[in-house]
Amino acid sequence: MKSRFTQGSNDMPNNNILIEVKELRTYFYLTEGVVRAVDGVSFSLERGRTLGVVGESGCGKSVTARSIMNMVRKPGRTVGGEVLYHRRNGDDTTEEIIDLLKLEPMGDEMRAIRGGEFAMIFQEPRASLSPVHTIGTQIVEAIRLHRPMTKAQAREHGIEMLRRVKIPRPEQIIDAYPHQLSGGMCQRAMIALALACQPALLIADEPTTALDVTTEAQILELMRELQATFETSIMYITHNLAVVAEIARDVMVMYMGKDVEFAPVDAIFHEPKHPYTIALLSSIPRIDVERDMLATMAGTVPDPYALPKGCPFHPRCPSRLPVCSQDIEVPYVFFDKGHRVRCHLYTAK
Amino acid sequence: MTQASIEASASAPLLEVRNLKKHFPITKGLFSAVHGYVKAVDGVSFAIPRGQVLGLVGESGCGKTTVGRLIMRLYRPTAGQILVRLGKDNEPATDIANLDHTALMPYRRQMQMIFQDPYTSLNPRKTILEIVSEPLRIHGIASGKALQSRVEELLELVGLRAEYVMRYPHAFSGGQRQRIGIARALALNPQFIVADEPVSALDVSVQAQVLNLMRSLQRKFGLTYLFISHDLSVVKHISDRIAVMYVGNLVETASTKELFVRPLHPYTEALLSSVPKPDPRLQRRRKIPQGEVADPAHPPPGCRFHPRCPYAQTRCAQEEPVLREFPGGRTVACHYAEQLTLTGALEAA
Ligand SMILES: Nc1ncnc2c1ncn2[C@@H]1O[C@H](COP(=O)(O)OP(=O)(O)OP(=O)(O)O)[C@@H](O)[C@H]1O
Ligand SMILES: Nc1ncnc2c1ncn2[C@@H]1O[C@H](COP(=O)(O)OP(=O)(O)OP(=O)(O)O)[C@@H](O)[C@H]1O
Ligand code: SF4
Ligand SMILES: [Mg+2]
Ligand SMILES: [Mg+2]
Repeated sequence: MKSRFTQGSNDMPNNNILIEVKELRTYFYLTEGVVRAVDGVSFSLERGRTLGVVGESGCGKSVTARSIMNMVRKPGRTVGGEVLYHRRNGDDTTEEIIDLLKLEPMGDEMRAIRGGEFAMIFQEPRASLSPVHTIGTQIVEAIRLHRPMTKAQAREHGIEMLRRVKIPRPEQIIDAYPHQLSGGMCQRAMIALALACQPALLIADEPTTALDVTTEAQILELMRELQATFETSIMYITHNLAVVAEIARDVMVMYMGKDVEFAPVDAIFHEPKHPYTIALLSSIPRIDVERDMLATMAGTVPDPYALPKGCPFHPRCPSRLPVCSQDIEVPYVFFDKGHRVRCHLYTAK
Repeated sequence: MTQASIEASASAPLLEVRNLKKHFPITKGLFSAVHGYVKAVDGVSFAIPRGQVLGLVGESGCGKTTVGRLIMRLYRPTAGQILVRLGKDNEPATDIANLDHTALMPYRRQMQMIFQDPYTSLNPRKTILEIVSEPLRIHGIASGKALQSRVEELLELVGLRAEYVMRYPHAFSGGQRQRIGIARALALNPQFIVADEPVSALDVSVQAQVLNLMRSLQRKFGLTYLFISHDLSVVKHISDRIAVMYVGNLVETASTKELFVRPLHPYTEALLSSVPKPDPRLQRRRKIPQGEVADPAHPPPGCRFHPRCPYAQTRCAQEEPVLREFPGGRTVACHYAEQLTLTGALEAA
């Protein structure tokens, strides 16, 4: 039977799924205790669609991404759940389903998928580019890993990709080292590197945080083009809700390792249901509104070793009910159009 | 009081830069033959009065970080003056542009920088305690128990838990690392802070907390900031004045309110109109300035913005506009600033 988590933005049945994440749990085992960075997250991503992932700093967005890529390192470990990759053969006629978490993280098969069919733009562009190699060396190597090109062809393709991410003088910059580029240029070089590989899945972790609005708009346009041409699925992690409004089809809101709300983008902005989503929307700084101090959320960020019992948001929630602090997993409540929320306010009725 | 000291106290800025330049050589080959210069900063002048916040905005790669690093004297300027007045308003300012390491020490203590890149600016082999306490130890301010409690106090100030002190940077999310950088910069109670994209890596709720924090610290201790950001909605909340930079030059400075209500430079207008709105129902694509982004190695002749400016005339391609004074203490570098009526992002009150 089709899982309720595989509903997309419309009610049409679909079998166009690329990635299905079920009950994912990734914990970090530290001497001071266990950090439940991802603690029960389920969603699916269709081919050619964009899922926006939002939530407070430290809520587990990047760890979710790393878990999907099966690249969580010690002291972290994915302790539960599945990441099902619906892989199609060349002519799209047959499909096999692989649980990526069952593959050896550094094994050949996982590495082939990670380097070829999937690509990731890391949140830390400078740290993920090697400081001792030129941008060109790194792009050429990445391209040649999974596309049959000569060095010269790969270099040409690399220059073209740098041009498309709006880096000036790409034919010179390709020979520059990361420290010679500005923060935003490094980020764009990283994007060029990921897009050059024409992946089926692109996980973009805060890809445009270092970019000004005009450059960002150009990058988003480029991603849309790529998506239209190659049916790339994009998981777009960001704290910028305006960007989510612009690029995402569906949005997943995370809070302390849990997927507290999932909905089509319009519903997230116009019919948010989870009190956390509502609070998040009201704290956006806007240029067209005047405020002295920005609205912030009540309460402090909870201690990751001692997650609140029950709903993790209850200590800060303005609408909490007595049941919210009881030690029970908050169930999913489903609405139409694939909108779902984990909040007792909607089960009480 | 003497005439000179009256004049000084009337408008004594804590920091003033005059005609600041940084040209990076473009080298090629093993023997590093220089065949051109990246004019990252090419004649920038501004002043920041004590206790005020100047926001510096502009496109990725336009030279913002380089300005910050020059002021911190992490680079030696190619030309220009950096006048600093840390003591009383009536004391003369010192030009630190060419001071050597030893002579810079007293200035280093009073001037701190929050770095753009929260990943590479934190040493991965040091604990948070070591990182945040480093400036305190270097300047011999505290040791032992006092040191540890000062670090814990600083962490709490930026919304991190004091128990984290023995952890290494990799155990923190992007936003958490950025706050560690802020705690380190605040450790010495500096008078002046260059904050380079201090909240870009933060989600909106933490962003609001950090902005409010920086603002209240600034008011409480009368701090002076140069606040670099590509994000206008962020700069708007913290800055008294804003300087807009385009390819190595300033094109406009004004009080925050005036800039948002009525920009006088076409590039400022373009920046304001390309900010995305956090609502999927509003137009999904932004208006962005057309044309190629200028290259600081080969800036266009005349006005550097002319190839992308919708109002450009023949004169703009030939004659470089200088920064001219306008009523209300504004400055603008556009030949047609008087004639144009540009659109802002805020209604005039
Ligand atoms: N290597 C690690 N060791 C220990 N804890 C870790 C490690 N990596 C992540 N964590 C913890 O897991 C939690 C989730 O981190 P994650 O990086 O996924 O957050 P995020 O949602 O991406 O935040 P941000 O928006 O700040 O990037 C955080 O509390 C973080 O401290
Ligand atoms: N160490 C260096 N060597 C050579 N060129 C450099 C160096 N540092 C910066 N540049 C060049 O100077 C220009 C301005 O860079 P800078 O880092 O100041 O930009 P920025 O405005 O901070 O951009 P961003 O918003 O992307 O961080 C860029 O073209 C960059 O390539
Ligand atoms: S479950 Fe309760 S505490 Fe949690 S968000 Fe909903 S109302 Fe608030
Ligand atoms: Mg992250
Ligand atoms: Mg920068």
